[in-house]
Amino acid sequence: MPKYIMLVNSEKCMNCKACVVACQQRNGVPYGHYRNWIKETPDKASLNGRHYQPGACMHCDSPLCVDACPTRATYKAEDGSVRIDRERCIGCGGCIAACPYDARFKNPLTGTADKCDYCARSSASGLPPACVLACPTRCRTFGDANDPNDPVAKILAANKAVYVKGTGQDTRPTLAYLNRTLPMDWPRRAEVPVSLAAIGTLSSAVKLFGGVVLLGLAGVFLGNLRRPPDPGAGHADKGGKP
Amino acid sequence: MSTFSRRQVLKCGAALLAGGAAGAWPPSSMDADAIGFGFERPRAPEKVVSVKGYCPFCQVRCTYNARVEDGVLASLVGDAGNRWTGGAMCPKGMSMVELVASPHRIVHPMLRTESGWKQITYAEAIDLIVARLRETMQKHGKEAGNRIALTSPLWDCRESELAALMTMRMAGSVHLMPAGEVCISSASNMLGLMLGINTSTTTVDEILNSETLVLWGANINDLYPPYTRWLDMARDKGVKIVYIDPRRTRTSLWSSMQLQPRPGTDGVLALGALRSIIESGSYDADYVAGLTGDFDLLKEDVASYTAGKVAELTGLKEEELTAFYAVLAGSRRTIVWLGGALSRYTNGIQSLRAIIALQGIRNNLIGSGKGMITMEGGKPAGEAEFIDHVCGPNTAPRMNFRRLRIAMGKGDIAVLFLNSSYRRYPDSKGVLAALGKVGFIVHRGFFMTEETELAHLFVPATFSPESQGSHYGAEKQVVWRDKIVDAPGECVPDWQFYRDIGRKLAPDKYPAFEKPEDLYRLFLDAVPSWKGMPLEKVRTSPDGMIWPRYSEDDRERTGTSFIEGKLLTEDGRMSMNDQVFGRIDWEPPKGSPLGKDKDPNFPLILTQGKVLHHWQQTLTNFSRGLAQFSNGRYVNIHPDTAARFGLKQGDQVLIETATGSVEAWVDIIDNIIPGIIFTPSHLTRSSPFPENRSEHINTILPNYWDRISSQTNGVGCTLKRRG
Amino acid sequence: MIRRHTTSAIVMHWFNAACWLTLLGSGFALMSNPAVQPVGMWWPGLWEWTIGAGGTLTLHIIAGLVWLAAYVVYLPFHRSEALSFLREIVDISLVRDMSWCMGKGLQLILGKSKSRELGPKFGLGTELPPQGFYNAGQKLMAVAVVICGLGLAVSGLMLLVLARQAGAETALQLLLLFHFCCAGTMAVLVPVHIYMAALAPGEGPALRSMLTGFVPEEFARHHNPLWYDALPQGEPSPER
Repeated sequence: MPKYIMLVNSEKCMNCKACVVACQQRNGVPYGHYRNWIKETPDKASLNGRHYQPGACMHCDSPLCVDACPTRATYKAEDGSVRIDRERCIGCGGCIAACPYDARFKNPLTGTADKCDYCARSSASGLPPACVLACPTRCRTFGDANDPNDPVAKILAANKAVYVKGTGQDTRPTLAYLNRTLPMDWPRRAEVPVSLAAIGTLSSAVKLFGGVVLLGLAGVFLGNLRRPPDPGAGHADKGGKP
Repeated sequence: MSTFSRRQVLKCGAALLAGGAAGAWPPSSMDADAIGFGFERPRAPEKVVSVKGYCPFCQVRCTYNARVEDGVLASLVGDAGNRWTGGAMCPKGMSMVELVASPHRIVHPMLRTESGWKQITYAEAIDLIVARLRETMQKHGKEAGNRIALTSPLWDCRESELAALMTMRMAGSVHLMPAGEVCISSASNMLGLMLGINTSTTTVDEILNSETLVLWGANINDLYPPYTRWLDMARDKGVKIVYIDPRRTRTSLWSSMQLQPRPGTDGVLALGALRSIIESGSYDADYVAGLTGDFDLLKEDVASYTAGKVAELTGLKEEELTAFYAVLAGSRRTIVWLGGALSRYTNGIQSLRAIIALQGIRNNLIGSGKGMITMEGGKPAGEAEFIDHVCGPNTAPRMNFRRLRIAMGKGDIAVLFLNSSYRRYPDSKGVLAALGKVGFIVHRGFFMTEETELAHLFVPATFSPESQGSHYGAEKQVVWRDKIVDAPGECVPDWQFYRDIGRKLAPDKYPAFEKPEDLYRLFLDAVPSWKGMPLEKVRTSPDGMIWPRYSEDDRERTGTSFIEGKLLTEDGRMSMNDQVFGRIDWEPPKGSPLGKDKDPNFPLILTQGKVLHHWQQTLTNFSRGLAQFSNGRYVNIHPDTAARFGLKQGDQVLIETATGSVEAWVDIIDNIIPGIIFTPSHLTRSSPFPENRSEHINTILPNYWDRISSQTNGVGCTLKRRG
Repeated sequence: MIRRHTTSAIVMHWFNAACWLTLLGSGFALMSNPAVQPVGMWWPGLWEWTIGAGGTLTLHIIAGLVWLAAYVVYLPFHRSEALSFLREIVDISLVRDMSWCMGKGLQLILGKSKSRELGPKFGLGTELPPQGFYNAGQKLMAVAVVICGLGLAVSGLMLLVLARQAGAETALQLLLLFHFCCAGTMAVLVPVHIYMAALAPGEGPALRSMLTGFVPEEFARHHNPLWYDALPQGEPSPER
């Protein structure tokens, strides 16, 4: 089974935004909404005083967005990517709140959550992700980390992988920056929204009460079968169905 | 009545449930691309086709495969087989996807009447134009040609340009203003004058064979992002990249040394380098003797440019200069990439001559890893040959825009085909006044712009994906584009527009071509240097074919243009004492705070230029995708300058020159040297997106020209806080 | 025989039954994250296997809209029927209804004879208090149906509409919680109703009346004596 990952050499990024527009067009993302981005940070070591950091969904191995999704529309696929099944998505936005990287947004055209999916829609025709292809300096490499012959495996072997993580929270991102990148401290502390977490608790209560009721009714039903009919059975009792 | 049993009730319920489920069939999971929620079930495209094309904008000429989903242009995917771009594209080129479907497009011809615009048909528009041209021709006879003019570019294809040239000739006119003439043609003219070839003398891949690459005012990454890959490969190969620009930009990221001289002092820097090289004897005397007969003159001309003087004029430190000179003197193979910026100052011709001389003295013109590169030019020859072949030889001199403007101002122009933006010309308020005296202005455009506002007749054009044709790129590669989608309304491509006029004017003489393919083949039949580039080969290649190619067996010409080991000037030598331009010298740009004519009211040096998300004024400003990254009219200044003028980040100011002022907001960065300002060239008042909206910069730039082109940079300006 | 239900009431009852079961079933199937799944993972699995995950969501939305649409059509033409229904279900007498509920509960657990013996020990009579058109259990159920039904309808519609609204995510999450609160309550109550109506011994005539509209006079006299006594003599079918 492949494990797809994205490697980004942010020291080769010049912030031309080709990846951003290419992504929007390839995936039909409305302008003003972004599946990927470039962060600009002051950097004394840089020759123009800036460091540019391209980013997108980190396709985490412990994705909090997946925990937050009540309908399993967001899931960790076998190929390592975190995906959104738009058919299941009810647009509740739980995953958007739960992403430390703010990689998700509500697509106003579909009413569903949206984010990088490695250009799944067009990958069938053998195309690499749009951002990878459009980049003039080949900042990004996309491939299968489980295949020793894949370029990503070779690049990983020759470089230090740097992962951007929030403080005190590790969702185990798979997008790796090579050797050095800036900024490092930007992910926010994210949590499953309270109301969605409450659904979980409530759900256990429903399970419990529902179970008790069903068991009780089953008991009564069986008890009735065992018991001889009441003397006044038929229309004698004054009860009825609730 | 009591015949229903419990079981029957359960059955009934199950049936209802099943019925409900059946109503929702087929479930959306059947459809791979469905959006289940909200019942939007955009069908997966039934037919996805890939059509080859190229970006019509800059000279990189990125080729792409357009993804067309059920007849709709969905996205452009850079052609990975293109050796020059490696499949990259920049956001400007990708904006084409959006522009073809823009809701702001005008798709029917419109005639200005006393009561406003009136929609007319394309056939009516052509008849009107032909009638106007005939009237002019009858009234002015042989002189009619000087009353008809056309300003290009067309942003379309070579065939459109040929069709327009032929139409003009049928009307007796040779006055077609080429695209870059106004702002960047000094470089190609000087290259032609000194080296005998008015384009790059080598191809970009040769920088990998050089030891040193000097990006002289060439901000490659901002202007031509896909070519960054060449800088990247060169850096990886250990090529030393020296970048000369008063601003630190994206290009700085790839350079190993940057010099930030004052704007307009490039010539001083080159003359100083020449002096240093001659002083230190870092040249081959025999070679130089063979190259030029003017070496002694040159020695005299550079003698006064000591490091001290150069440092004083350029504002650079002497150590920086020494280091730069050492790099040049030590490098065995150097390529100089001439930026368009060099042509933007009134002293640009002299700066360019000094730089070209510098390359010559160091024996860096002929051979691998040597030469000059410019993105401004690269046009394969053969056009004049073909036009003369069809229309007969021409001896009449062609006007440049400076003369056209004078003619318009006198009311001498009866018909003007205004294809490009008039706002590209300096002192555009003066240009506008001159345009007001033109008898009949036909504007070929796309949107309601400043040009549409002043046209008598508007005839909508097609965007490049809407018709086919050939084009060329900086490496003299000729590429072909197929038609990708149908044009809306009555938008027609330029080749059709000019053909329809030409055929009516001269049905006997004007070639009766049906489509650009026919014209391409006619061209090949007439021009020997194109014979080896048949349409089918150009069409199927991912990056076209490189001109010239006299036969299909001819080898492909990349690398140096001087394949015979000598310059292509008449005598194979380089002149440094020109009949017209004299000896090589330097003086500050006209109107510059550095010069004698400085005005104390305007102490800052104005620089303006293209930024990454704009391509000219008329097209990309109408893209929402690009507007995402645009910031309106900003003015970059150094913190010292901000302190001097008492300005804070975000302040609203007027950029004021002797000619006028425009509104801007202050963006303070330390990437620019003190004492200068930078503001983007290509904002548009008529853009539907506020991010791109501003009065154009040429309203405040003076009408300064040298013998070749207009110069707009380096003049004095000041910043005044508003409100 | 006495007329107990009008045809429109019968149709609405069964229509409701089908909608509620469909909505409850599909709604619970949508909650396929194990952390929030109220039934067991086999449940969403079953739905996905039959009509797919997208189909389940589509069905849920269609069923909800159809259910609402039916009320939009029904209510304007049957205002009096609906109002008298509402009047009946809120006609609550705390003491009588509570003792009925407790007595009935006792009967269910212990059987009738035992509960007659033990009833007085719990402060209850040997017989259940007499009931009106609806008994206390039915009223409780009906009130829950109305409140939760309204809650589900309003929150459901808002979930559908606000999904496309930028910045409405927090509202959507709260609405989802509320939607599930209503659904969860009903999920506990509906089985009781079904048991009492369809499976409990002696309820055949009541069930049949929900199909035919009529109950035997004797049945009404015993089950709903207050209603029966209030019936005008010799009038077989009041419009209810």
